[in-house]
Amino acid sequence: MMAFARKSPLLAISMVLCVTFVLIALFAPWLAPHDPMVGELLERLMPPAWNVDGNWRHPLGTDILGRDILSRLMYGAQVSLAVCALAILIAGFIGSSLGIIAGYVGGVVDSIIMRIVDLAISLPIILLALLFGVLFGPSLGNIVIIISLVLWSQFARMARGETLKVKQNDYIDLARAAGCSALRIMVTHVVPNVAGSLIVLATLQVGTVIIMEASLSFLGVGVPPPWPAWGSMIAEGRSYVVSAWWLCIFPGLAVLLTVLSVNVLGDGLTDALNPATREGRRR
Amino acid sequence: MSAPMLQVKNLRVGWRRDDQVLYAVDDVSFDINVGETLGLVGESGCGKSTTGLALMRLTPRANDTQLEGQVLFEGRNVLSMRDQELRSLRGRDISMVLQDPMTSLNPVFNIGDQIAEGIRQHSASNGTDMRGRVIDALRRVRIPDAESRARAYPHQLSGGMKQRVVGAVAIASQPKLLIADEPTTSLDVTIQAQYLNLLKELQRESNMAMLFVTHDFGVVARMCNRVCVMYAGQIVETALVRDLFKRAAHWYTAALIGGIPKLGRNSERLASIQGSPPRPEEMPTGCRFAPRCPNVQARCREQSPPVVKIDHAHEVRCWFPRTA
Repeated sequence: MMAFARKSPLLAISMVLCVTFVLIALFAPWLAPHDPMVGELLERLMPPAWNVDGNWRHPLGTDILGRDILSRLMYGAQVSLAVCALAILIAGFIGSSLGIIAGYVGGVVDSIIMRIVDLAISLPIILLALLFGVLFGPSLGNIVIIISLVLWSQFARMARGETLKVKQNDYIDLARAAGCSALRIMVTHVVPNVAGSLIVLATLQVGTVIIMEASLSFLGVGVPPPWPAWGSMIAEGRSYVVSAWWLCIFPGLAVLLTVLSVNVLGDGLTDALNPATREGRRR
Repeated sequence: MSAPMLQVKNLRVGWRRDDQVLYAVDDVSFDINVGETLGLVGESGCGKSTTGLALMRLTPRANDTQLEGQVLFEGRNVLSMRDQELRSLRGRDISMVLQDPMTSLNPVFNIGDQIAEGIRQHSASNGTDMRGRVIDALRRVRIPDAESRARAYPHQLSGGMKQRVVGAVAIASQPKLLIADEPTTSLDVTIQAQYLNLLKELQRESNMAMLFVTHDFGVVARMCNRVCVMYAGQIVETALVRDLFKRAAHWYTAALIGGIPKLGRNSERLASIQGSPPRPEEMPTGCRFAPRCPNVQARCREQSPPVVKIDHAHEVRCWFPRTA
């Protein structure tokens, strides 16, 4: 473990950060010092603890309604991570499956799937989100559905392209020559060879999803207001950024660190999945 | 003699382009007997690899490929098989080794798993039994230290070693026919010789037949019993190996053999054939070799030559065959 940390410190730090975020999200109710939704109006807009007017009761200060920022960040992690995980899992699974099928089968199937992808890419996400919000009211489920609807096309494109590349290899022909069915070839030969790129894509999407979620929350079709989300915290604090910088900076830092560490982790994962780069670590 | 194991009758493989069909393989017929090695020789692009693939119905772009004629494997027509039947034929009855060992193995699996996959398609084997069969297959292709090599990944092996593994995958289910499509082209000469010997030994051990696709007459002389020479999608001459070298009847064959350098003969220039093979969209009427043939006559340019029998195992597609 220590040897690993010394060899790739960046990867080790990212791993620790990611694990920390997930743990905070999971155990927010026990870790948070205050109720994130109840404010004390007497303590509104308190600066962080190390500031002159700060107080250690609220380490990162309070917002306009006197709610504890640290607690809101912890609960906000729940929202962000849940939306990211769900949207990327759903979009990744559907998109990758369709992309691999399109690339491997080709012909008419390919054309049909890729035209649907074009359609999905041209969907105006904000308009769609507003429509959903008006029709079904703001909720976490809506965010996940809307983000997935747009995101799956990226996975489909990448999966199709990678599949076409993998298909060139003789081992695909030889697997056919060995009597493997198309489904089996896709699952055992294509998927492991395209997984690396798709995982990198998935980690790159984390940032996009967090920002999408923030925009949707800002527009009022995301997570309903009293519930904290990093995106809406930034949005709420944005008009006070000159007088009370901590309202925006801390959720912003949370977004930044999460996106950064997930990206580095994704790169490390790619290396670990590629046997040619894995060798060095094994011997 | 009993009926041949594989009979190819008037095979044509074509692709639809615009409204016409271009045939890469045109009216090809040959037989392969049990335990025999048949060579399929020709320049690149003459349709020899496509013929090999068509025997297992593996031609690329399956949607707009046109396959005509018959490929009878033990009496059953491969070209009209249902998917289920076809899958049990592939790998168990007929197997394949391709030219490039670098892309013939999947980089994300260790080689033991890849051999096991082929076996698993055709038989129910449990864990320990499977491991035994995998190691056995690796031993048969003379891979030293098979137990630990089974856990190696393709990138940890040399090119020659990889090609042996490809061989192990191909023979693991004990096929009756092996289609070897230029298996030694990407190997260097010493490894090439070892690999050819290995194929011969494997063949002797299991009485497996082989279709050997190559452009190398040296390999043909070494490996094959009989040879088919292909030109522009057609077989122009079929003969026993020694007949082919001693008295080639087709002018194309003779020209190919004339292009092989020989030890001890000090010629300044190797003989070569003028021009290049015709493309499928502009096949000459009459004999396809006529534009390049040294012995071309008026008739050759107008009418397609018939297949003439010279003796019982020697056929040639020519109006005016060479006489040695």
